[in-house]
Amino acid sequence: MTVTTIPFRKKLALNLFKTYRHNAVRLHQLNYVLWEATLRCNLSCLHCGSDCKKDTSVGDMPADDFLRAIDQVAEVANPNSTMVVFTGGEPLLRNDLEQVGLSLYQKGFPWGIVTNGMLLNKQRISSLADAGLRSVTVSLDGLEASHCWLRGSKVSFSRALDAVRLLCSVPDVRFDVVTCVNRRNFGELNELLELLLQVGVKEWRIFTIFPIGRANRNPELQLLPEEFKQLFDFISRVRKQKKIKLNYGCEGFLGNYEGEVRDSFFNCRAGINIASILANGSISACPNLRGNFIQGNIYKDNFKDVWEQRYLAFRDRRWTKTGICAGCDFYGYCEGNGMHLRNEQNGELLFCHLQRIMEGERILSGKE
Amino acid sequence: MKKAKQIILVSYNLLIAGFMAILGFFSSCSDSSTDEYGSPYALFKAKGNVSSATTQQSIVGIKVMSQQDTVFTGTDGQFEINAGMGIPTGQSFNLKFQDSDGAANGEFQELDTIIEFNNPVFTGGDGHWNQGETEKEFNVQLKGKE
Repeated sequence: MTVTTIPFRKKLALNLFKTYRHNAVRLHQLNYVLWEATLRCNLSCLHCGSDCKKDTSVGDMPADDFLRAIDQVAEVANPNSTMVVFTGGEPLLRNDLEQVGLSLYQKGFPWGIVTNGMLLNKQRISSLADAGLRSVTVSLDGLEASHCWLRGSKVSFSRALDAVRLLCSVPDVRFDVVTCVNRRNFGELNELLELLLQVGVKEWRIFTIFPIGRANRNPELQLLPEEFKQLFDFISRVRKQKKIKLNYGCEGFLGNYEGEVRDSFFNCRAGINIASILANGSISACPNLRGNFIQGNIYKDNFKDVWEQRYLAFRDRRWTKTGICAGCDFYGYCEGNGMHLRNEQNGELLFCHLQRIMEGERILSGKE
Repeated sequence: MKKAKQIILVSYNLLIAGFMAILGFFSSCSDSSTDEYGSPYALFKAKGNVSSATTQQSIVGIKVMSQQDTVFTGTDGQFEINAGMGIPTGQSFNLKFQDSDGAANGEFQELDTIIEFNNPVFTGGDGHWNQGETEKEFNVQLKGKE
């Protein structure tokens, strides 16, 4: 059995899902908004996908500007079913998150944050929860040495772990841990799993590092093909144990691993259900979609108009059927991978998950 | 997009999700595994008595309406109504009291009023979005028709 051998039942489900996705494209219902709340960051991660700077002179978007755009979001989306997630940079560096969060809460939007955990303490989580915080994602990239190496700070691991422990004690806030798997932490995934279980984590997401942002200059951060394939065997195994809810991130069609390593089939919802507002006001789909993927700017355009009239490259992805995608038998299920894995200038595919797994299979079968 | 077309597409996708569940792919149509969609909410209940402003006697058969519920007062003039659903914080809702049985039980003027829930305490939540319910006593008096 190889990754490209998909049983009939799963193939049938994948075909049904293809129709489901096409219907979702026609509906074009916004239900997830990411806000790049700041570009400031208190870490300097090797794999950062943003153009983050430690420089505090980089101005943050005034809260009122963001909230004005959110009022326009409310004209195209039901606030109660639209999640707003603050990302960055490190969003906790903003002192007005509670005010912004409370305003969102009063407008009916659920909201959450993605954080490195460095500034999350009892007092802050309490004030955020009072402002209606509903979900937190904390990054924990391996055991101490590998996490600190990736994050560029000796205290980053203990702070992140403290944040995770703290979140385990807060009943009203849902949280998960996200791990970017790379060559350094690949060998310690079992130990990391034990640590998470011991601390009391219920949900864990695994991403692999893709070649954008700073990671583009650090190719050694990417798993070897055989490791890449073995990662999906690990995720599949852990999911079957049902001790923790583990999911692979929202990227890449994974052939026969679909339905095994994450709850949903691969579906890049960027520009279909997801929009983002970047630190400079740019309106995009996911925050790491920049360059030619930018659809407008809140300082020049009305968000409602942008959402309703633009995002054409996201809604009709036939343009992605070039290069290795052109002759791919699985294109219909994948439609050119996640948009963030396309070159922001010329649209070329930067990484194919399926091809990487196939490569890994070939290497591993040669070793047997 | 026209509403009808929207309803058709949403229904079509629900059908697909159902077929996929039959095939064993229960949550494959879920949007995200991480975030809880929706918003915190709670039920705001009002209960009380409707009486005559002139005689102070309880009135039977008064129609009490909120945006999401309609009830009638019983023989003792008592009513209990779901005033509304909303974010679990201080909220106010419209309540309307209407004489629905004509001359029987006396004739009264309609009352359109607001019930305010200040610093409400909620019970019975599920620990997630649903934070349970709160109840407030709300007695009104209706003036007789002139």
